[in-house]
Amino acid sequence: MPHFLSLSLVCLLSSCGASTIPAGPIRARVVTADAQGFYPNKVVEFKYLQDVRHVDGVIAVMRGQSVLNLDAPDSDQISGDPNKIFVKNGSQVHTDTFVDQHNVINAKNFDSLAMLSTYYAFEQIVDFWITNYDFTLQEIGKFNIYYDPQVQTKVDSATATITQRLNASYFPGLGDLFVWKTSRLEDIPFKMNPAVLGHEFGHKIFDIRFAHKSANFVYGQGASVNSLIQLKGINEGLADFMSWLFIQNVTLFTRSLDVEAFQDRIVPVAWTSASLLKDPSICVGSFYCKGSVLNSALHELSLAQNMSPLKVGTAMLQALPKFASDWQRYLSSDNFDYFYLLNRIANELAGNEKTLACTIFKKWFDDSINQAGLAKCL
Amino acid sequence: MQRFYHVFWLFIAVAYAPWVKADFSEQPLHHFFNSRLLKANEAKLNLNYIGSVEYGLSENLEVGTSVLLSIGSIPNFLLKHRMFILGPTETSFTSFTLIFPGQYIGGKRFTGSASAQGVVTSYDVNSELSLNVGPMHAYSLLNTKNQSAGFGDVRTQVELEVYAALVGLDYYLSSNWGVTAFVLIPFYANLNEIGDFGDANASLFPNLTSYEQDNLVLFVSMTRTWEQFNFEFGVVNFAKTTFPYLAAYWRI
Repeated sequence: MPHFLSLSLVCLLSSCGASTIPAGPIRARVVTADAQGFYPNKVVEFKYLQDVRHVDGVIAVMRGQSVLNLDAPDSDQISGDPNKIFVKNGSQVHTDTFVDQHNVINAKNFDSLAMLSTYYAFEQIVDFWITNYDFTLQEIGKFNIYYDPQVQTKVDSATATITQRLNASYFPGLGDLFVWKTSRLEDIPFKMNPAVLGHEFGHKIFDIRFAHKSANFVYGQGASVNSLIQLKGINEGLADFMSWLFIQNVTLFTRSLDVEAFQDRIVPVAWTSASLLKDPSICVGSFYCKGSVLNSALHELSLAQNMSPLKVGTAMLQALPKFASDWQRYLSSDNFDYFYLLNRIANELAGNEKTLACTIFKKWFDDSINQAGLAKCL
Repeated sequence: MQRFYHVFWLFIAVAYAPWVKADFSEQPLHHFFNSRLLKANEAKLNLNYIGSVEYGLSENLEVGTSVLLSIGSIPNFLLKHRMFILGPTETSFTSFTLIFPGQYIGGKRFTGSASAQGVVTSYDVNSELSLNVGPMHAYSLLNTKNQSAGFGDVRTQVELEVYAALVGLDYYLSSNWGVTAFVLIPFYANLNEIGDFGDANASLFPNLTSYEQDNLVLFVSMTRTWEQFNFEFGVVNFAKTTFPYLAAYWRI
């Protein structure tokens, strides 16, 4: 009985659980960088979130305490089967919040704030693609957002559990997103930066329209080493472009981490495909560097007279399934390059718009392989 | 190898010199891994790899420090405390602590501390043989800060903790020859790393039954005493590597 009494007292002091969520649309205070690069704390209304306590809703559910198996063979990694990919597939998260006098939900700690902010950012991103590019919730599918996941690996008989920081990522095959633990080095936490999350969601869009959600398609058997590198660059360049379509800001991701590798991804970049081929040291981001040439070209085309981001974005999305057939046909070629995608995008445009696209693509992709590949563009 | 034999025969010649007259019964073997203490006001100057000085403050307490490490800007102290004597057993607390106020090691700046301690019981089987057993614990917490291209100061904290069982002996071959041997058997070890790029936790000995020699610390040495002067030579085996151990010390 004394134990019950002391428990009652504790409950009295702490309310024994989350405060009651008000009826009607969920309004909560989140932090998110805006298009101007400011980082406001603002009250927003959620559209898809249904369960604040467990950060679960129509578009996604957040999962915590998951552990990826780093030792899983490649065939398991791309299988899309969580049982083969995870040591632990995670569990429900729990936010701690209170409701203020304006019926606004406020987080009590950083993790709760970060989870709500991340979810809100993904709501905005999903809504953007549905509203502007005719995606449906069914096509996108409900996805998992893994919050602060860990990876596990064995070294001899010892098991090491590692919590990576300083990143956000998309996992092909699973179709899920990972927001890794925040590092002291981040300014705006990656998981609260819509430009970063927009980029990762861009990989999901690429996955849906190009790979039909199959990781095996992207890492298909028979692909040459060169083809895989080119496709990685295309994937990254398009993800950056899709992030820009959403947020309309070319520098916002650097507000999280202002390092050279990120600076090199601000478009328009200072190099073309030919100058990059001649001197790869002008950029530090490996295949990202050529991806940024693609992003620069699409960005320039979007801002050209009589063109718009919507037009170019639509052409890109329509081109992706056709580019996928090119990939299947030519993935073993040592000369597989960006021109397959560029031709497909140009072909989605007509008349002067196509002429303009070809001119811009030829300007940015001025190396011999792409010039030859783009010869019939006009 | 030839040099080793020169040293070895020189040592044998010195050890059996006719002027030798010494006795372990007055001052039993004294080291970190047994319970024996220096007498009150007795000092020990040890010319080993870390060049330590120890001093008996009382019958039950001695302190010390490694002079060479201190010169290298790593403050450190040794402490040994006799806890109790029960019949033929004597139990002492023994510890050695290193402090890193900001040393540069391998180009990185370290702050933190490292220590090893244990409670060692020495049991006199007879006048010639003592067994030394007890739990030992080593712990280090080191912070590093170094410049990383593009990231500015990058910080890492590494925490290592090891628990081990000590099993050893001191054997007196004669009144002036003694043998020290021990093995440290780790039974728990954990590594924690917290950094700006990620955290890692590794349980280093998850399978306690899979003891291999690689995981053990083995030590064997012989000590020759000439009253106040002692000379010790032996080997340490750790992590697949064997190191020679040499020490000359005076007990005054």
